Amino acid sequence: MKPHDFQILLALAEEPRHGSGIVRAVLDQTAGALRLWPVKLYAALESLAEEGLIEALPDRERPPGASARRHYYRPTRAGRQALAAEADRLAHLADTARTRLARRQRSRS
Amino acid sequence: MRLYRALLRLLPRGFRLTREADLVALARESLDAARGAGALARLRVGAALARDVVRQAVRLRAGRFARGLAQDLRVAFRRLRRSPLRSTVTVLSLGIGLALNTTVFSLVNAFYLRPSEFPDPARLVTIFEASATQLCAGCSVGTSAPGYLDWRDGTRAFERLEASEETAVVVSAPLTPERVSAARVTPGLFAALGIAPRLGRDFAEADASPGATAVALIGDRLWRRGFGGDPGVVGRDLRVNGGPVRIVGVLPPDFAFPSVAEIWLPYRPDPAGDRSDRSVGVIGRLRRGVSIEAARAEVRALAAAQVREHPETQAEWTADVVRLADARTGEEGRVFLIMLGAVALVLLVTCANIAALALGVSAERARELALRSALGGGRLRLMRLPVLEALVAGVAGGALGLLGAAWGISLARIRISEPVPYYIRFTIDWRVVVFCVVAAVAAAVLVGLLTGWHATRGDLVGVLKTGGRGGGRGSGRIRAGLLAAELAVVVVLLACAGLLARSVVRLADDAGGYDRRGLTLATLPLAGDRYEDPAWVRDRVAELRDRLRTLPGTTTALSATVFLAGFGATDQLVRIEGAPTPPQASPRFAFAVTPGFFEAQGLRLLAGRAFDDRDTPSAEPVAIVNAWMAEHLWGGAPVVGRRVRLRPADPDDPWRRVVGVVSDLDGDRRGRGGRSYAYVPFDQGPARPLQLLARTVPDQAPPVAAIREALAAVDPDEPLSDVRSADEDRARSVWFAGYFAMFYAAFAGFGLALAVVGVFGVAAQVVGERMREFGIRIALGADPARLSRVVLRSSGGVALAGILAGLAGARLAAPLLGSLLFGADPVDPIALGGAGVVLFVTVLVASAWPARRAARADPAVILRAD
Repeated sequence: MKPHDFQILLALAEEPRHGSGIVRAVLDQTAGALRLWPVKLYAALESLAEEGLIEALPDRERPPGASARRHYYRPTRAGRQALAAEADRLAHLADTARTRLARRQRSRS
Repeated sequence: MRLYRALLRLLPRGFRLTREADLVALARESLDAARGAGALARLRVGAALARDVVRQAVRLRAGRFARGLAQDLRVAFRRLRRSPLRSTVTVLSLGIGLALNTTVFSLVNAFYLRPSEFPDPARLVTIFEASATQLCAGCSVGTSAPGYLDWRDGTRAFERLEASEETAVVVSAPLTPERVSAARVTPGLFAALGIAPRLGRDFAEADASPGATAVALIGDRLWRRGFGGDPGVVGRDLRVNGGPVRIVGVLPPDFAFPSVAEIWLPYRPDPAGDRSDRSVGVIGRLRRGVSIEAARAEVRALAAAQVREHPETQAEWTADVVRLADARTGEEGRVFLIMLGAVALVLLVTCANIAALALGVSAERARELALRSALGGGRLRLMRLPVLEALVAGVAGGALGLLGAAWGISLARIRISEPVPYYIRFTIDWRVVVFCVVAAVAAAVLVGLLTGWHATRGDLVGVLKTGGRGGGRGSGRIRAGLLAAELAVVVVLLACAGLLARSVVRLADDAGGYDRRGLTLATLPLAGDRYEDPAWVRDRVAELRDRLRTLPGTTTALSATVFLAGFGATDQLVRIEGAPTPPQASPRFAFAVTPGFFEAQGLRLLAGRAFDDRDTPSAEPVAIVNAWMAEHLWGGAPVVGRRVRLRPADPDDPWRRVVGVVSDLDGDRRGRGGRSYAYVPFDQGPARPLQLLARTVPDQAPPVAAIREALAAVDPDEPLSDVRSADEDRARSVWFAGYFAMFYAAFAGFGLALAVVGVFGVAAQVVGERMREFGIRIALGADPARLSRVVLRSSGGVALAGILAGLAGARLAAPLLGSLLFGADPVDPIALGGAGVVLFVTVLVASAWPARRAARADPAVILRAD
């Protein structure tokens, strides 16, 4: 999974968001390292939607008070599964990295 | 922000329209967030936003284009599958058209495009003597040995000037005696060409000096055939013309300079040689910086000096310098180039045909395209589908074309039984493949554009309104125009094929004055120094005759050709006693024949006697002439008993008494009149090489094995080469004409088949479109036969226009066939008229079915369908 697709899915994991909401969430969760510029964001949203990983929120489920012009997105079931699988993969990678680093430290001392 | 909106227009339309508000809002937020951070930060954000738009625009558009292409491709495939008949016709006709083009291109490629095998080929030239009066116009020969030495020593334009002389030798060991093409070459020739032996050494000057050990270089094929490719061959001996010759080297593969040689012997030009024997080929390498014009001027000046010094042989002769590469392409190359033009026309016809066929379905297509256009598709985008569809067919057709070309080339190779110079190789190399691919794509794009352009043109609303019933007047006119152009091209092809076929028929019809059935021919080279002695030749032939005489059921005879008239200023007239010699009646050569020759050849004795054992070397010299010569030299007076000198220029040549007259060997050969032939007894003028004739009763196999046995008993080093029937021999002498007639017949046949498909398709469409009208007319009481005639008349009109244009084209194109016609009239009314009639009848036949359909239009069915 591409890193920014992962970040978008992650940003949508808790609650549906609109465009600028996603941008802010991604900035937050990456500590300012990844900034999604508008077209990039919408192109990514389009391809995620085509892959069936996210969907636009139907009008009736829109959060109260939200502007009618703004599209809200949320992950589909497949999107959640893909996010979980990616998270597992990353966790596993992180574990492996830690284990190996620890082993190397031990052999050195 | 306005700038940002403008930039957003770069994005694909669909993407932008649904998201513009979101994008603008987001961009504004980003800018607002940077407001407090100063101008520089804002500028940086703006730049990032712009970069984002541009980068994503490129990505999105590329993705959409690829997806659209894939989708169109799927549609194209589906459509081709849905009308299998049309697809098959399209692919097959493209395939055949491309196969023809690729085959002929491979021939052109062989002559023009293959890179030279020599380094720095632009500096390699060939130098030869030429004469406007002493040779046929445009013909050229080499030079003589002393002529070559004059040039070598008298010119400064060349780094080296080398000579070669083609010949044939008999190689006996390690092969069974075999006639092998050979060349005698000056020792520096290969160095001048830039070719080094792959094994052993090149010739050295000493190899050509008198008394040197006899040495030879052999070619790759002889090396493999005779020595199994043994690398230790250098230093071993071969038997050449009955004597040992040491092999000093092996030349590289695919090299047979000057054209078909397999073995090379050192050549030492004789300064005292005969200047009228112009059999030496001269190759020069120009000095760096010397132009070919300068070299030509130098050689011409030298030729002028030669005329002054040796007027008896050089009068009316000059010399010329031509690049080796140009000299090699020659007449055949030009012929193939013209042929490429012919097949390109065939391919154009194919394209026009496929386009016309596709225009028919464009009724349905037009509706769909109109719909898509209404839904907002650019014209280019709409054109893409028909072009893609044609490309899919083109790829399949191109693959078929390559396969067909491979087959055509192997066919061409089989048909060319003559030895072909080594530098002409008919193969499919990368150039041929590239040509096929380019031709396929060009044809496909042409078809696609023709159909697509028409279908996406103009009045889409109108098309939707009429329910897509026919493309209207415009499409009809385009189709008729395409068809007429196509028919015109077919007429040109038919006319050319007809002309060639007629010249071949005339050549083949020329039965000759004798019966070819049951006649077998073979060649005995009698090469080598041993046979320099006429007495030796006479004895060997006598011995061989004794052995052959006993063969049951077979009449055998031997003959040799004696050249009376050389090229150049030698007197070409024979002398007759008591009267001046009429011009044009002298034979150009005589045959030295053994007794029994006329019987074996199948000529009738018209007066006097045939040769027999009385005609020994010491008896009175005698001759026999043919009826044509008797008629033309003596004007019909009795000739037996008169005397003639065949070679008056030679003081040793005796007066010969004419003892008989035989029937003519050939009749109206190649459009010219008959020819004079003289015959002398072999024993009174032995010559070589020998032609062996063996006549058996028709259908009985000739006793070739027995003849070989007899020959081996006389001389184990002598091969019986080139055994063939007289029919094969005849076919061989006309193969070139037959070959091209066959090619053009194939082109014309294919063109005609295309014309049938095209005419049928267009007529059927026209009828289909007018069915309503026809139905109504029948309902109103029109005569059905009249409706048929309406259809036939419209086809006939198109055909007539096409035929007239085609005949005009043929009138222009036929002279290009030039030498292939062997003197036939390029505006032969039978060939031209025949082409027109054949096509006209074909057109009428092809429109017969649609015409009948028109006559049977059933008003009830048609009107109900509305």
